Amino acid sequence: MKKALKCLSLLMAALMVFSLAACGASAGGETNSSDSAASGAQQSTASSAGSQAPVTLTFTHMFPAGDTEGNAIAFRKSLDKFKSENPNITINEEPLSHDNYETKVRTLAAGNELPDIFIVKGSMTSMFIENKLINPVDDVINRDPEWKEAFLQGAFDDFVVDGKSYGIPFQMLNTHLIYYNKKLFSDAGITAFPSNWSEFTDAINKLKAKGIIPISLGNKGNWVAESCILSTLGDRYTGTDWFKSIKEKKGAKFTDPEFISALKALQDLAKMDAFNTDLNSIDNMQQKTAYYNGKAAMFMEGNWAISNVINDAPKDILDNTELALLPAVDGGKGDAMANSAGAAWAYNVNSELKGDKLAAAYKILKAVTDADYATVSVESNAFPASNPKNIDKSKLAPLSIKYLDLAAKIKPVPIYDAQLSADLIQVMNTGLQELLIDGISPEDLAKKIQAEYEK
Amino acid sequence: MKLKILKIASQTFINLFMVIFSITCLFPLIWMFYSSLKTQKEFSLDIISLPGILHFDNYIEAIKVGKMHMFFGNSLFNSVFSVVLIIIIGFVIAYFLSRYNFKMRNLIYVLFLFGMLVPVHSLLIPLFIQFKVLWLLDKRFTLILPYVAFGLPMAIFLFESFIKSVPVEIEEAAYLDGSNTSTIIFKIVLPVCRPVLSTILILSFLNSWNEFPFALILLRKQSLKTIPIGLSNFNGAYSVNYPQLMAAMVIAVLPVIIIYLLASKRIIEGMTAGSVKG
Repeated sequence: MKKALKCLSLLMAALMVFSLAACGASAGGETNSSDSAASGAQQSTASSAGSQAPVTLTFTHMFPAGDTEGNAIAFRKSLDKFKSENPNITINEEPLSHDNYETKVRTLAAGNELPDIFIVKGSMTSMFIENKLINPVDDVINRDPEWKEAFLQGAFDDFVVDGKSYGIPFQMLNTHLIYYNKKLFSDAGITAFPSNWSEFTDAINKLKAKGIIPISLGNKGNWVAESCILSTLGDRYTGTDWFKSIKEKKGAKFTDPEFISALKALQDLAKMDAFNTDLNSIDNMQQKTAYYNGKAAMFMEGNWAISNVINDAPKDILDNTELALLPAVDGGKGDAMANSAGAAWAYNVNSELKGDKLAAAYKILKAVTDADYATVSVESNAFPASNPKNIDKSKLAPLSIKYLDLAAKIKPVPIYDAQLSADLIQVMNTGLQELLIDGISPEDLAKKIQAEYEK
Repeated sequence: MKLKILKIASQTFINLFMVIFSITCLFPLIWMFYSSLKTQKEFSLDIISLPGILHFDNYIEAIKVGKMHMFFGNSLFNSVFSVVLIIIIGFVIAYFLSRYNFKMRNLIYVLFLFGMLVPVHSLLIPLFIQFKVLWLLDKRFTLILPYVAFGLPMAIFLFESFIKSVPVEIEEAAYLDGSNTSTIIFKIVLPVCRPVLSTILILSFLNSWNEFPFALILLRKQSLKTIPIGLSNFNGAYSVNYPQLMAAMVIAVLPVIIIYLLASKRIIEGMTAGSVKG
């Protein structure tokens, strides 16, 4: 025993020495040998062509070549075009998948090793600002009115701190859309999509009587119920001012009756069997399977699912697919056209960049966010954060056109998981899984969320 | 007669039971293989059904776009070097720890065993900063260092306890016949350790082959990354191209299965072999 203690104390001492040494050593001026070799090669070609000085930039993004979503396709097309037009700028890319991106960027930030250009999440900005890793982008955007005016209303909202924007958005997520099959609706005797809550529940009962799953839900990843349903359903009851008050800690509570009604409405849907019974064991990819097979009349997911439906659904289902939003609720304070929306992620550049490098970095970012990018993006069935210059509607799938028409009327309201802290969202998401199988009452869940909020 | 029937019946029953068991183990592999030949459309309509037309494009895409061959080479390089180093270093250290008694012997042993208790995720940021300060990021050998460091504790633990059970008499006999220390270690003791050697070989190979967090954090160059990272590149933010991912997984898994099938006899033999029986 004594011996073991002695060993342990020696070990601790050794550990401390090591950790001190690690803190003491400072990062020297690093030079990447392969980078300088590459830029050297670039220099010789560039000088012979007589163009601008060569610049090399590192760029960590989340669009690897294997990713077949519209956003990733549009990004790669635009970046390739930029590369061919600007041979003097060498871009060392590091593509990472979306799921791993946050881990890596947080580690790089902790090690003060961020690349020249990277992507930040709305909830990460305040940490990055405290550590002086990023600068506001307002000046650059304001200098270029054409670039600035193309951005959609509310695109910068997720990245605004103290009145300044800390990111250039490239996508506009509408996390809630109802995809419904109009043929199944008319077969069940529903002529138009319900415009109020009682019509909506009537429609669900009619569909159920026909033996069809009214709403297909795959909440295994536990974000679908919160991001794609509750963020909008909550706003229908509480209105947007309530959320602002929550975010700024100005008195609103999750135990307020409005929020509890929203939770109750969601649980009532589950209790009346509006959803499939295996809702907690399938994911958002699988929730579409029942819809594609004509066994479910609706599913709720964001605008990213549009390209899935266009690519994967059988033709008769695709032709019958229409888009809608949740109807207004009785006594709700929210707008019926309100829809949880936001950019969630945005580009920014390393605060240490200067001169030519900084200018080149913003030039790249313009190429992957401006109106021309938006055109490419819309044509890939994705959802850019700026207005495309001129869309050739004949190039678009009919469902994309339906979406663009609807999107023009939508009033954006906050997405819960893009704006609230990760710990709070964790409590909410897992709580919703229980709520949907009647494992917890709306009041108790509200109390649990409020307890986490007050921590 | 009756007894015989009963015997046959019970045997069939047991066999049937085992067959069902092994199907549950094999089915995921079989499912992965045939799903890799489906199109995304077929897959999203029905995840279990067989492919209509064999769709080999997924494999072409996985290699051309997903660069699976490159990730595969990197993984192989890292794993082979890590395993060789783990076995050589681990074996020599374990030999001296179990055969010699010297000052601080216990401390050294405890220090190595401590490595098994440290959760990898708590080390990501400190290790990243350490590697950055030492300029070890983004090198061909970068990943081998942590893989060997994290593989050693288990190897030393297993080797040490096994060597303890090997009778010293064998070494004494060899010594009398004129062998020096290195001959004794590598020509006498190492072959005796074959059963535990194969265990360590398999475990440390699988650990370095499947390792994810370090490969994600310590490398930036695409050309150095390993298979687990390559596989994650097929995941989009909200959707996954499953058939293509399956094709990439088949490429990642097939060589391992082939090696296992070829070497399974050796591996099982190794488990039961030894110089002194009983």
